[in-house]
Amino acid sequence: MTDRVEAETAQSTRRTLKPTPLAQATLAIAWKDLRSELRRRELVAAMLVFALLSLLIFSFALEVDARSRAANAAGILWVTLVFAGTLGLGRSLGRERDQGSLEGVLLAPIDRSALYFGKLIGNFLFMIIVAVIIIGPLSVLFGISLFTPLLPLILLLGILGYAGVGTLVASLAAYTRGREILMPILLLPIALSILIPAVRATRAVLEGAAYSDITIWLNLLLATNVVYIVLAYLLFDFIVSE
Amino acid sequence: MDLATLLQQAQTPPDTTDGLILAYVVIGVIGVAYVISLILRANNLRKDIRVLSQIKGDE
Amino acid sequence: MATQASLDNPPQVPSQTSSTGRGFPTGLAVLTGFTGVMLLAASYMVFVYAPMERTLGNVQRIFYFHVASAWAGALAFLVALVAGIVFLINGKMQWDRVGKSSVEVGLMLLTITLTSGPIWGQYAWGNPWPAWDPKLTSAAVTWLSYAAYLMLRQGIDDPRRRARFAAIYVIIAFTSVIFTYVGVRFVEQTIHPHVVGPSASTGEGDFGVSARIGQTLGFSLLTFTAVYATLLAHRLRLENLSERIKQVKSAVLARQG
Repeated sequence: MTDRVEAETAQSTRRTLKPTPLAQATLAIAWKDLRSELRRRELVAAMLVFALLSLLIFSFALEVDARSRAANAAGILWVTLVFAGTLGLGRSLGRERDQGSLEGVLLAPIDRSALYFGKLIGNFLFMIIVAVIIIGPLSVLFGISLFTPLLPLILLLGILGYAGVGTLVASLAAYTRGREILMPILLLPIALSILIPAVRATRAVLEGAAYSDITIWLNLLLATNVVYIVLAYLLFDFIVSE
Repeated sequence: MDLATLLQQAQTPPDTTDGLILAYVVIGVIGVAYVISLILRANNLRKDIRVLSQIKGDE
Repeated sequence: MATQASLDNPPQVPSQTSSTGRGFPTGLAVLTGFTGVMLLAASYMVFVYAPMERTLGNVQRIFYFHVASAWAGALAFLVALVAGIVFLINGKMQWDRVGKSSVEVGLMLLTITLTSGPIWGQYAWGNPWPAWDPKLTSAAVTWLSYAAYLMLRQGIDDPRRRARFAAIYVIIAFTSVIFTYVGVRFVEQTIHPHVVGPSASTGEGDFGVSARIGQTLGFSLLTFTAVYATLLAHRLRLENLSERIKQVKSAVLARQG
């Protein structure tokens, strides 16, 4: 008897609680992450210091001559971004898991993929901030100007793709034993498929290559973006559902 | 076909049998190692089965 | 929960003769013998029947098993992908076991490809691993992706979650391997000869394919396909058996505790 009453109440609550629209829920989750980051500033700060450190180490470790400058700068830029990105991605769903607030988010009447897209926006923005800041030091350290009109587009696409697949893989890793170790192992082989077109496009831009040489990599980058994000949208439900 | 290619083709092939043998030894070792690992795992399972059927027999 | 289910319907201890080691099911025994004969015949063709290549000499014969193992490895990963997708759709644990077994066998086959290649390269290019050759890089990354798959499985205790996560990861890994491969294949210059598709390279690694070379390669491909099928069948059998033993164990423990 009580069961039935409870079930009816639950049903009516569900009816009154209309699911929040996907976009609104996504932005709410992204905003929550950004606000907590603004308050504490630990994650972006750590990513930035790590990125600058690795730039310095690269500049000591590599004897960059004038001829291979563009190729090296493109590679160093992306390797630095990818490694700094793993720091941010490792925290993205891990924080909720640690504090036990993931269940709360999952119980909210929102589409599960809002969680994915919200996290994606956060990770994307953190990496963009790091990228914007390290371009200056990178230009100085390696004596090559990175301020070219096409580079922002490449950075946008490359980081979006990496954050897109990275958010999904990091969510997988968040549930595993020893996730700090496992996350980069899971993510880096996958990340190479984005790293290759991103590095090549950047290099082509820096070397002043023909427009067609650049677009071929941009198209590949765009294709990886679309496929990874659609896949993540389809698969994310399977991660958080019990 | 230029002269260099013709000359090269007229030459007897280099003796690279050692490379071939090395490669097939490596291939063989990998394959055999995997098969052995399968056999070992099967043996462990068989041991488990023996213990389990003993327990069942005791009941 | 699993124990509850197995208590209601106590699973039988798998019998010694029919389902373990010594007595294979007839089909599997025949398949295994058949594959063994094929391996012998393929070895004969590789070492004796195929003509010696002029510029490289005997070492060129590595090419047959190198290509064949790469093909079988790719097939194994494709099977794992399909198994992963099917698992996500119908949730049957059998498909998870197929995926895991196929990846394991595929990794072994790809290891053969990755070790035999550099030996050939040492003679053909004078360098076992030319840095940043795209084909070599994508093969190595494939290996690492699927090794990561096995590590992911080890990091998760709950079997259903493990199966779900493995299926998700195998889909992403396969996609990324395709992207890496397509990216480098169509745009990048490689010194590695192409066996499938139009060959862009006319360098040292190019083979004029005579009839005997083609036959030997074709038969090697068939042989490694059979090797893959056989190993998968054995590995899967092992996995099924260990699953049943796990069930019996938990049933016995539940009854005693």
